[in-house]
Formats: sequence, structure tokens, C-alpha cells
Amino acid sequence: MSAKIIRLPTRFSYASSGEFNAAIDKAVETPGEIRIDCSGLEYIDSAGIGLLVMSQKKAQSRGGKLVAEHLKAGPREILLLANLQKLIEIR
Amino acid sequence: MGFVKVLFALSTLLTVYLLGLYVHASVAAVVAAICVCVSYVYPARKEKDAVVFTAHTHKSELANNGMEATSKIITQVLEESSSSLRAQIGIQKDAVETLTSAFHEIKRLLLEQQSYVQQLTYNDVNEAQSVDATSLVEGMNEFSQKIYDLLNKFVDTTVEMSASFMELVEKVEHISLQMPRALKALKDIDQIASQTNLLALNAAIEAARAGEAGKGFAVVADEVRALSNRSAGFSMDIQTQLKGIAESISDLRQTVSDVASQDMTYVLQVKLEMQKMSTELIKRAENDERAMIAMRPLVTRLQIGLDNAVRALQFEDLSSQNVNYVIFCLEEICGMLTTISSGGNTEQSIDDYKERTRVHNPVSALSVNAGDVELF
Repeated sequence: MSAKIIRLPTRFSYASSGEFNAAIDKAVETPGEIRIDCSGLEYIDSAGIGLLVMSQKKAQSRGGKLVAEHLKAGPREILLLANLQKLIEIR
Repeated sequence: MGFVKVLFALSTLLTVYLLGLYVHASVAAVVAAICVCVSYVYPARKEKDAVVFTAHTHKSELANNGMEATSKIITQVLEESSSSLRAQIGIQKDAVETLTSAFHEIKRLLLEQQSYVQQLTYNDVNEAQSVDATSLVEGMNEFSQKIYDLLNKFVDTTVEMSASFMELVEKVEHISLQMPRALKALKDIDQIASQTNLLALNAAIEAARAGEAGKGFAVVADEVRALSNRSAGFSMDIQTQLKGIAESISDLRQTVSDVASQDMTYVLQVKLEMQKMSTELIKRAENDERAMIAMRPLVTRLQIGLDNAVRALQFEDLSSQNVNYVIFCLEEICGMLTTISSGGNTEQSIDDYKERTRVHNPVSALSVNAGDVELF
């Protein structure tokens, strides 16, 4: 099973929803880990957080899960403040 | 030269009394100095006088005059000393009263201050006395934890809401994608209706051509045409309705998008700020409590010190009694000097003096710690 990797843009907000949802819908077709590459991420707002949570729910319902990785300090702090570590594995 | 002997004896006696009582050392020094000087001058002259006494009687007169003058000076000094000592008692009494009331006031203020400090450290002053008192730090920790839990709930709700909005956006998107398909299906229905209409028309033409035999068929063809027209009508109605729905969906999509794109990360910033603030508050409360605990023994020691000071001041009575005794002695000496200088019985005077001063001597209590009595 090949690793499914979705790379997030520099700014992850509502504007990214269409593209991200399409990528997620494709990724959840097969069960397994979906790696969200956050190496380029600089800014994430509440809509972006909402997108991640929604995607995790989708993946979970199909036997998969999201893993956020390569986070920079700023976005990592935001995700931890949002208690996202309770829902999504943050590496 | 009995007078010189007496002066010498008096000087020694007075010095011993005054120094022995530790009162007015300056007076003791003055009196002793005068007496010693006189006693030194007169023995020296006594030897010379023994040799030339009979030949120079006028010198004896001069000596008597000198002694009289000296006696006057000593009497005057003794009287002044007595007066000074009396004034001293008054000053001492006033000072002691002022000091005692000042110490009492300091103690009262100290206790009041302590009570305010306890109010700062504990939520309730009465509570501070109980064993399971809630300290400021405990209260602050509890408060901080409650705020933290509340904020976390708020954050969780916000995140959940954001996710729900995103799902809503997706669903609305899905519905609006379905709309063109529905419209296309209706267009197909329109086409079918139109073709049916055409077929019905053709059927009617063919029925007319068949004449009498086609009459029944013509009725059927008309019904089919009417049905196709009704189908086309329904399709138009549905299309109009669907267009309205599509517009509403478009509006909904816009509204949901607007709401979903609202950044709510300020909630996270608030959480961060609150975390920092509560940490700072707890730290400060801990420092305050530490300082309070450190202050407690100091306050107790200060109270003990004040109590000791007030207790020591209560010995002012004893001190006044001693000074009064010195005044009494000085007055007795004055009387004795008068008796001697007016040619009275010297030996008798000294005996009387000894007896009277013995009777008036106050109880010896030179230390405030002599009697370990609790006065408060």
C-alpha cells in the first residue's frame, strides 16, 4: 500500500477547502494512514482546523486516519492550543 | 577640725549612696568632688594651724568663715540637685506614660495589620484560623483550573463548529452540483413531451384520414396530446421551482462560506493569554503566601519585644522611688550641714542621719528581671 501524502499550502484556510477536500476524498477511497505534510505551512485559521477535523472524521469512518507531520513551531502551537492532538496524531 | 572629718565622711557616704543607686551619677560626682576638695584643703591647713594656732587666732576665724561659705555652697548644690531630681521624676513619668501608650498603640496597629495581611492571604479571616483554611494559592489554583477547563470546552466547541461548517459547506456544494443534473433531466422530459405532442398530432392527422373508422383513435390522440402538454407544463413548473431553489442554494453557499471563513483563532489566542496570566497569578500568590509565612514569626517576636518594653516601663515606679530616696538623703545632708555649721552635735547628727536613711531605704530591686512576674 503506497503512502498517501497531502501537502498543505503556506496558508491553509477556507480558500483551500475545494482542493483539499478533493484530495481527501480521493485519499479516503482506500483505508490507511493519510499523511498531511505541513512542512510548508505558515498560517492556519479556524476554517483550516475545521477542514482537518472533518477530514479525520471522514478517514475514520472509512477505517483510515490523518497524521500531521513536519509542523513548524507557530502552526504547531495553534494546533495544540486547539487541542487537535486529541483528534489527530501530530508528529 | 571635726567639720573636715564630717565633710570627708559625708562625701564618701553620699558617693556610695548615689553610685550604689545608679541614679544621677552626675550629681554624685559633683557632690563627691566638692566634698573631697574641701577635705583635702582642710587637713593641709590643720597641720599648719596646730603649730601657729595660739599666735594667729584671726586665721582660725578666717577658716571658720571659709567653712561657712563652703557649707553654703554645698547646701545650695544639694538643694539644686534635689530640685533637678524632682523635675527629673516628672519628666521620666511623662516620658514613660507616653512610651507605654505608644507601645500599646504599636501593638494594636501590628495586630490590625496582621489581620489585614491574613485577609490578603486567606479568603476569609475567620477561615484563616481553621485547620482546613483555603489559602489564596489554593483558591487561585482552583479558579485557574476552572477557567482552563471552561476555555478548553470553548475551544473544543469552536473547533467542532468549524468542522461542522466545513461539512455544511461540502454538503451545500454537493447539493448545488446536483442541481444542473436535475435541470438536465427536466429538459429531457421536455423533449419527450414535445416528441409525444408531435406524435399525438401525427396520430390525429392519421385518424382524420381514416375517417369514421379513426374517430376513436382521434380521441386517444387528443388525450395523448393533452397529456404531453400537461407534462411540458409540469416540467416548466418544476424547472421554475428548481431555479428558485438553485438561487437559494447559491445564497446559502455564500452565507455558509462567509461564516466558515471567519477566523476564530482569536479563541486560541485568548486561551494562550489566560494560561500565561493564570500561571503568573499563581506564581504571585505563592510568593505572597511564602512572604506571609516568613512574616508570622517576625510579628510574634515583635509582639514579645513590645510586651517586654511595656513591662520594663512599669519599673518606672521603682526608679522614681529610688530617686525620691536620693532626694530624701540630700535633704537630710542639708539639714545635717545646717546643724553642724550652727555648732550642733556632729556625732548625734551623723547617727540620726544613718538611722533615718536606713528606715527610708526602698526595697532593693535593681533589675527589671528580678521578679519574674507576668504583668499583662
